[in-house]
Amino acid sequence: MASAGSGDEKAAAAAMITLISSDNEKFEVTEATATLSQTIRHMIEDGCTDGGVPLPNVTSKILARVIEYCKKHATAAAGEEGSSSSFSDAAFLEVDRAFLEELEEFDDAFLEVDRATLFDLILAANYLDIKGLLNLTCQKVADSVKGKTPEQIREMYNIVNDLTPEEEAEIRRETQWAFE
Amino acid sequence: MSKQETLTDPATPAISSPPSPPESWRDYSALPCNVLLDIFSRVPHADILRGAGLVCAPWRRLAVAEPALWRHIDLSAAEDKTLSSRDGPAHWQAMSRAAVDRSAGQCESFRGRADSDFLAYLADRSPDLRSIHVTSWIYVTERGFVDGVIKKLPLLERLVMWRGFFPGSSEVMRAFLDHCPRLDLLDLGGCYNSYAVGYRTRERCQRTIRNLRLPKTDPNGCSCCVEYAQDYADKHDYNY
Repeated sequence: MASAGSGDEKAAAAAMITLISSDNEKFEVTEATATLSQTIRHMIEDGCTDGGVPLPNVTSKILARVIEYCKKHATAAAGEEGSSSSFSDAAFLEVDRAFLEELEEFDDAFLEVDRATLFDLILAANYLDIKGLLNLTCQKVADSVKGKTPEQIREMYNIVNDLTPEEEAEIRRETQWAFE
Repeated sequence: MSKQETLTDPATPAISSPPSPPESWRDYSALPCNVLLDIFSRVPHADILRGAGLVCAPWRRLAVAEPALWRHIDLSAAEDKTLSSRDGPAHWQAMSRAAVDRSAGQCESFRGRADSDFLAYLADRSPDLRSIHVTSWIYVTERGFVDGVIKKLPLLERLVMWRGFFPGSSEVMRAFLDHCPRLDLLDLGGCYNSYAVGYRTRERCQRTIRNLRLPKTDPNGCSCCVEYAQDYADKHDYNY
């Protein structure tokens, strides 16, 4: 995954990137952490990260959480790569499983947020193009609407029913089953 | 020592904020389309049809007008197995048909409850269909099955029927061989054969279809009738 060769690993690990939130807070992160975001990865590749990367769509509160996520997952990825050479297959699998379990626990705890934060995390993950985080947050929303009626979902997310009377009538015609 | 510390997640303060004061409101109906599509692709189809797809205008538009969501339709439910095709909520046909309509001709696989009429509806609108898995009891009528289903599915690779009756005559089985050249898995083993398949066609099927379970003989059928039907099928089974 890491594009740097093994000789450059130390240099790559040492390279720091400054991310600047919409409210002008600066966050120093390693390149390995930052490049979990495809958007930032492309900026680094294009060499336009000197002087920091402004992220006008992400507040410091959300950026801090996003970085927390990226750090954990970047560490896990690095740990997996490093361990593969020094363990036997069985031991590696054991370590691998432990890593995955730890990550899962981290992800579960990470998702313990209110609806507004979840929404902001989704938008940030989408804007920064962090696949794992987008999957995680989208899955959370998907799980929450399973088995729910439209009204329950509206209540849960404070969604205003903006269907026009015409649309409502159309739905009723098309989908008798939903109202039976 | 730090047990209490680890129990409290620093990100969620012990005193949680009151539920949804105005400033914490976010407009979930305005999620970007690609995100909403990602979310919907993780929601079971029955829930999109009955719940999430009816919440607001943007969510509905996505549910109705995004054929990619309906390419692999799965409407199977636990109760499929306990109800006969005539039982249960009368609306399952309407739901299944709506799912097929929304696939806009792009459906590649279907899994769920079905009857003969629905199979014809599905086949007629899904030229790309590769897989059908019927999860309910089904009585497949011979009338229209060759012309209305088999001949319309040149890409069919898998057909599984859980239980029921299947018209496994020599003619129907030969139609699979002639019109579904990619058929690799045909599992009708849970069904009783309302007909008999001649031995030549049976052998041809066994040679051609890698994973094959033919419908079985009804044990409640009168044994001399079954024997007669088999004899008749063997004698009239021409190897084209």
